[in-house]
Amino acid sequence: MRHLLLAAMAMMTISATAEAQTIRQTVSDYRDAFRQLENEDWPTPNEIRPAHGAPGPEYWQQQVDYWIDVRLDEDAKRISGIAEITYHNNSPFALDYLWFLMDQNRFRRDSWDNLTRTVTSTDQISSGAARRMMRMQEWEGGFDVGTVTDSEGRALETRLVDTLMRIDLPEVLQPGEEVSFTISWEYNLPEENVVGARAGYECFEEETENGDCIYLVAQWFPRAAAFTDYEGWHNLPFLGSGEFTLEFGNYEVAITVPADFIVSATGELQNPENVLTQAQRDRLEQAMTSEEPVFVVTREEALANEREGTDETATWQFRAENVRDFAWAGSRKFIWDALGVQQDGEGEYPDTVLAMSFYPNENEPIWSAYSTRVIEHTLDVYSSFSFPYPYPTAQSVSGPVGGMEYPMITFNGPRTVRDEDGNITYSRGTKRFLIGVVAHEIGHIYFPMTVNSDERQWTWMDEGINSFLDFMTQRLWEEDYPTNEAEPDSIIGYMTSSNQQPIMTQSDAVTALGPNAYSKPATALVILRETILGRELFDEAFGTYARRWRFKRPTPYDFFRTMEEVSGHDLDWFWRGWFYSTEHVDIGLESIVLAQVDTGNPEIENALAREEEDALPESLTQRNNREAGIQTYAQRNPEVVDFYSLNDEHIVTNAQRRTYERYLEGLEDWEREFLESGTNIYLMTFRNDGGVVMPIILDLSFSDGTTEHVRIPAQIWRRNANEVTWQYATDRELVRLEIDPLHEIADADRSDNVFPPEIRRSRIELYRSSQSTNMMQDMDLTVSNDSLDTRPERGGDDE
Amino acid sequence: MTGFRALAIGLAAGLALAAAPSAWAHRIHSALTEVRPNENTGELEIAHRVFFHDLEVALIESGMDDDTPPLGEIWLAAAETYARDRFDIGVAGATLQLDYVGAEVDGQFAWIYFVAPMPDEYDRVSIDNRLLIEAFPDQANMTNVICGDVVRTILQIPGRRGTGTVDFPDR
Repeated sequence: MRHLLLAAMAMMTISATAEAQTIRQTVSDYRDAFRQLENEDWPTPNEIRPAHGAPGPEYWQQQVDYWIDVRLDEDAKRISGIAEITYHNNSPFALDYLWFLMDQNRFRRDSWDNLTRTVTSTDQISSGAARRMMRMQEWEGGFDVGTVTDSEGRALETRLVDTLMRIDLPEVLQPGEEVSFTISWEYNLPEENVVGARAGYECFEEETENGDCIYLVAQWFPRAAAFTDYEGWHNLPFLGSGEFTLEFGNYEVAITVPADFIVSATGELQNPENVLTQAQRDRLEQAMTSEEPVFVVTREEALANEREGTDETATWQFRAENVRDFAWAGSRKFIWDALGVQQDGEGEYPDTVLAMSFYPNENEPIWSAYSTRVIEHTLDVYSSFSFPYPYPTAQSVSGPVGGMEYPMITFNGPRTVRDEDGNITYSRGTKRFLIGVVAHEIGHIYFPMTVNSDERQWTWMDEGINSFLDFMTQRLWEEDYPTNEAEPDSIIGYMTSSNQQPIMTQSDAVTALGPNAYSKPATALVILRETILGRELFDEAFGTYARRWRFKRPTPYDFFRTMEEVSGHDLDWFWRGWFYSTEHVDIGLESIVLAQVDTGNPEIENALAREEEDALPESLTQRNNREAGIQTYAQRNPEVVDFYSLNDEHIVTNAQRRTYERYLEGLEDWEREFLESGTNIYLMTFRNDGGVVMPIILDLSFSDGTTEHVRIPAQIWRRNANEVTWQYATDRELVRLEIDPLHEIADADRSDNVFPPEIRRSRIELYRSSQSTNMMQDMDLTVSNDSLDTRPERGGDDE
Repeated sequence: MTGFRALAIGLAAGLALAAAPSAWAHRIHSALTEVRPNENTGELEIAHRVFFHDLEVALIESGMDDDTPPLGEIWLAAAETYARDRFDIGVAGATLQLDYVGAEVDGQFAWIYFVAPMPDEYDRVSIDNRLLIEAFPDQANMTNVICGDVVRTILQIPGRRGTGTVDFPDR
């Protein structure tokens, strides 16, 4: 390009406050937002977890199988069980001992969780905390371990460390070997609404109720701790917040409960002929091919069941294959509906999945209307993002837990309200919560129950990914469904807060788990899909991650690497900004400069120069002299006027014309065409005030009424992550520019996103204006006595 | 003896403020409040963003009828009382009296708005944000106090309740 004559069209100057916190490479202010995370934060690839993100040829994981006989003592609210456990050592290491999770020990009075509880304030205590404290003085939970014996009946040494128990093996367990042993135990079930346990019992004891209870039983048996290639034995204690990661295995579980109970559990019922009536078995069969949910136990039957009661017991037998945990629920209050969800199991998984819901009459009518249908919808959406639902059942059980997930079974809380007169109502919020929580918890059966990430280490890997997918599920429930938790604008408040932590922080250390581990990663994935990669590439990469790691144990690095390898996008800059930093997104427009091409043609350029000069204001002294009637010397003596007086320095000379002709002769055809095009080149300077590098998305409007949507990749920031100037050529005149017009990148400050600048009103100002009841008045419009036609209001001066 | 009496009084006062039963749930219990000067109006704006369902649970537990229509006159008044009783803001040592603007629902969120005349000094802001904590013991309340292009955050979570203060020394 030859000379440019720069004509300032507009200049916006807005203070820059870039607060760069990412890694800096040099002593200058250069920071490499695109530096690779390989060999920096990410572990060195190996044969178990290679650099391309798939499980490697040496990948291994343990397997633990359980045969369990468990009994509920309803009067004592006590569980007793005996388990035969077979531990398969698939690792390349010899093991002297095995560790087990003893989560119920959290409810011992001397548990680390109980002893380390801090008060919320020195001048008040919540009623919930007071009630729990009083309960813990009169009641105690925790496992009472009976015997631990090997297959020969010999007692094994054990050692308890809070919520972990070590079992010393009589002989070293070599790679490829398995060992079986038996454990018996008992524990008191916690009352969920008092103690807060993710499970437990809830009794209905209002005047109109008869004291029947719902039992949600989870984290209820000694479960083998994870032993992995990247951490060895996982030995974080259970303190209540962090969840867990476990080993896959097969379960045979016999559950003995009062004979009038209905039981829901991980797996498939093996003895329906012993615990269900013929009518119930027929209805279950009918549900497999029904178009809509079928009541296996009707409302009326559940009500009648409540009133009867029994002293007899029944044993429900369940089998579950390749699951990482087992939970169950029972009550004589349960209504039960079921629907066979058809899918293409691809030869590996069931072609029909039995979606089922269990709930008391207190939940009606919304549970029979929504719960099982939401399961159906969730399986459809999640499978489209990942793999066919891998298990034969998917269940939603009502109880005192707001929302909690286990393989094939979830606990969900929303319930209708009944007043003293028996009137039933439910709020809009309750309906939305029910749909949202069932989608979320059922979604967890994919992540992390099948894609077995480590919840106690990286909560975002299951909660964030799952929140992303339940957002997609709710968006596809119905048009304009009110879910905006993962919309980019919703995360701005957290991302601009001053004491946040990176997503890649260990779960127990995160102070605001909701926005950190749920909302922010979910939003990041929405942006990755809708804005960075596009749906096709994102869906292919995400689906590959899910399929690669189903029934295996991924780490964050396996996720990051797979997303990059499959999409063909190096995304280290994105992970660095969104997952490793506490910076936010804020792109601002610093300036726009209009540059026009110097044609070299003296006829054009000299005239432009004269125009510019003429556009300058006249000398004030000269103007005042003229207006005062003062004549110059030349006006009074015209004989001094010569060639230079009559012609300014912008007159085109013959020499200039000859130079231009020679210049043209030396040009290529395309160069000549470009010179004659009159192209406008807009030089736009953008600031990165937030720190996170992101694509620059622009809406451009022109004086001829046309518009253009431009998407500049984030790599524009590769040489300077703080400020860049971008050029845009057009033969049109730019009249308006807006950065991020669709609010897709979580831009925190939109006041500098628009040219020419526009006054932005605060949320409260907008709310106030929306509350006006007279929009005509607000819009300065008026009507007449005889017409509805509006016209501008007349001003007072015209009266 | 004196200590016991003080504890008993404190407990009674706390119970009076927080009389609702606990409800543990797995999903997020978090809220965001923004405190922002508005130069156009000369006001200090306080906008609370909470999950609509959580607010509904809390309003009912605090005495509002179950079947109160959202955003109706009674609901709006209940939201005002609820938020007013559970959010205190002090600027430069003086407690601000807030004027209620209103509330609205946006997707999953409910927004509750208050304003106060912009204080002469804005170099130290204290916040006690107790929204929803009696309904959800794990409630995390984040308050972003904004001054120009600077954001200071007060995070009030289990084990870290009580008044928090941020400073803007250069203002």
